[in-house]
Amino acid sequence: MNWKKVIGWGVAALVVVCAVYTNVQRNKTDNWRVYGFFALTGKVASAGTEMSKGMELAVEKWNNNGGLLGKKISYIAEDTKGDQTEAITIYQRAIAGTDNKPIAIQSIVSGVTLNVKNFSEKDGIPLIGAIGSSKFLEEPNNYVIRDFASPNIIGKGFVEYIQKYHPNKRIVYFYENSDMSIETKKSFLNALPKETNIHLVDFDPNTTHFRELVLKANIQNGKDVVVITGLGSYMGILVRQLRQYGYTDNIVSDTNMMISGTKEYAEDAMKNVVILDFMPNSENPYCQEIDKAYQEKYGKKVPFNAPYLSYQGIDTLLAFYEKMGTTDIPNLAKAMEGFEHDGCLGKVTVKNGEMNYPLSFKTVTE
Amino acid sequence: MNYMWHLMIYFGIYGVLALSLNILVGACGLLTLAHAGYFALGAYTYAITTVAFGVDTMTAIGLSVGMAALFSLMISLPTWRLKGDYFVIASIAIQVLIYSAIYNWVESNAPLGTADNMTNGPFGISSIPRLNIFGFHLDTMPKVTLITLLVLGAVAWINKKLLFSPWGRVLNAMRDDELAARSIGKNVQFYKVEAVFIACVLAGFAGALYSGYVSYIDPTLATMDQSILFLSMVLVGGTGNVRGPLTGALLLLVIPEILRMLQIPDNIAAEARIMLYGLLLIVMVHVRPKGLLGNYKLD
Repeated sequence: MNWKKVIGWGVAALVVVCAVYTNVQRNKTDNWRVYGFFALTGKVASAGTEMSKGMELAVEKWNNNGGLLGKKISYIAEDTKGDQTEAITIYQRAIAGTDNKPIAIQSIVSGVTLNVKNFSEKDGIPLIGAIGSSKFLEEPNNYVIRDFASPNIIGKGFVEYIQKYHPNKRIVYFYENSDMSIETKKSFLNALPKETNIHLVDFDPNTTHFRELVLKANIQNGKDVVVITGLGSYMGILVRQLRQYGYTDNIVSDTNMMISGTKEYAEDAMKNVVILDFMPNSENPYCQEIDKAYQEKYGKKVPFNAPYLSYQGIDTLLAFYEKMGTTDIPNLAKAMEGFEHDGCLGKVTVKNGEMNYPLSFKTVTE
Repeated sequence: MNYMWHLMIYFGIYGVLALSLNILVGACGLLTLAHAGYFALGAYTYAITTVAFGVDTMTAIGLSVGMAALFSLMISLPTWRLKGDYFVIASIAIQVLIYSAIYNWVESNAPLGTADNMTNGPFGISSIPRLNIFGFHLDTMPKVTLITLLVLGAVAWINKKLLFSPWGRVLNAMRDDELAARSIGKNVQFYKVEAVFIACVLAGFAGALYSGYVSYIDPTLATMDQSILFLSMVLVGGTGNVRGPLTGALLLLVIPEILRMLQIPDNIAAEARIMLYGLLLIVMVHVRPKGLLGNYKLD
């Protein structure tokens, strides 16, 4: 018998067991536990890290005000890497070894949320998702709440804006071939009058070469209006190329245009881009609170709007728990129906499993 | 305890994948980056047939395996004269093809499984039913674990029998010197087709298992990142035998858990862990080019 090998394997097994044991032991706390399942590394890390910061700030605010129902809250950020397979491992780790189950999980990236949902629904753990696709809402959900404006709302919002400010123009609609953008386009087309002249242009995620698409669309100032939906800083390249090829009128988009990197890619081409969706209002005292807390903690200004979204999401849920006097609420999604809360982005109303908040159009001026 | 069950289930699934890839990489010396595509094909076939057509799970598994087998010809027939770097490039093309088909075969108004919307594209497929094997419904983690590990055991046994059989020796001969293998009358192309067939069948089977466990899948299963992960398991663990890929699968599964044991400050934990993970892989491959327990070193 090769004793070296036996000892080697034995040590390796011991390390693994210790690791698993230690990881599970961390769940044993008297505090409430809330989790952020965000992509802290990988392709959507810029959004994920900012959402994690927003959630952390919200939890800190609650703890500074005495916690939830007299108990402190522990915030744990988990890196999903944007990978749904990783997310399930993280979820199982989060609920292992203790009866003190998490009272909330917030996540970004549709695949991650939808995968975790299959498990969290059975375990009765609330899941707040910034989810692009609205298809999942067609399934019955007891514990899933969306905290992001649905593609349905955004698509209709685009139509309202265009009908008001750009009637009778041809619409050139650039959309990314992703769940969120396809759903937004679908909602947009459903809300649009049938006789509208529209030219649809789809592109794959992470495309960086828009030249041919832009030239083929033959966009003209005064006659056309451009709409863009997608998620990724490469949209800044599209905006820049539109400007380079002579289009100076409004470009209508949603808040995903404002993620980190887009402005850098667009350089000064972002002027006259109109954004629908939540935009932090610097006069709102909650936004001012977040701005100040962010500046103090991270030494810089809030770079874009992701932290406000996650802050509001968890803040609203915790406020609901506080109101109900308990975190043990069967069929939470239904129980929250009609709940209103003054969020950092305005008045939040929970309806059909979604946190609705005021949307507005704002034009980028710099 | 669910956490342990979950890790074991993943080990079972990744183990089957690593063993299947070992047939190509270890036995034949054919580096491929298309394996995630076959894994996803199996997963999607299971999902589509059960969700859209209401097929029972055993038949769905059979169809998953059949689909992967059929599509294995996509890689083996066009590439049977290719080897080395050219084979890798061809496998990348297959990978991209499968991913593009899964991602783009969507029409949001059409039902799943129709000619217009076969895969639901970026929306993914949810509510996939759990596996039901001859009336044994895998609705709890221990049951899924049991079946997955039994499957892994069976696949490992089959793998061992194949690799150390005359058939396996021909594959090794092809890997070491294809010309010499041909010179003694071995139909190298046919053996290649067989090896790819078996590898893809196992990958498709693993995909069906995965699909039945997680109940939601999307096109990210078929990305290059996943192929690289599977390849890493084989390269780190070692090729040319059974214990190497299993070790690689286990290692890549538990390293993140071990890294979590280190008390890294929260504000840099995620980035630090991923850097350490990458560093560990580099060191392992550098120190042990044959892999931890491999028999064969890839050129």
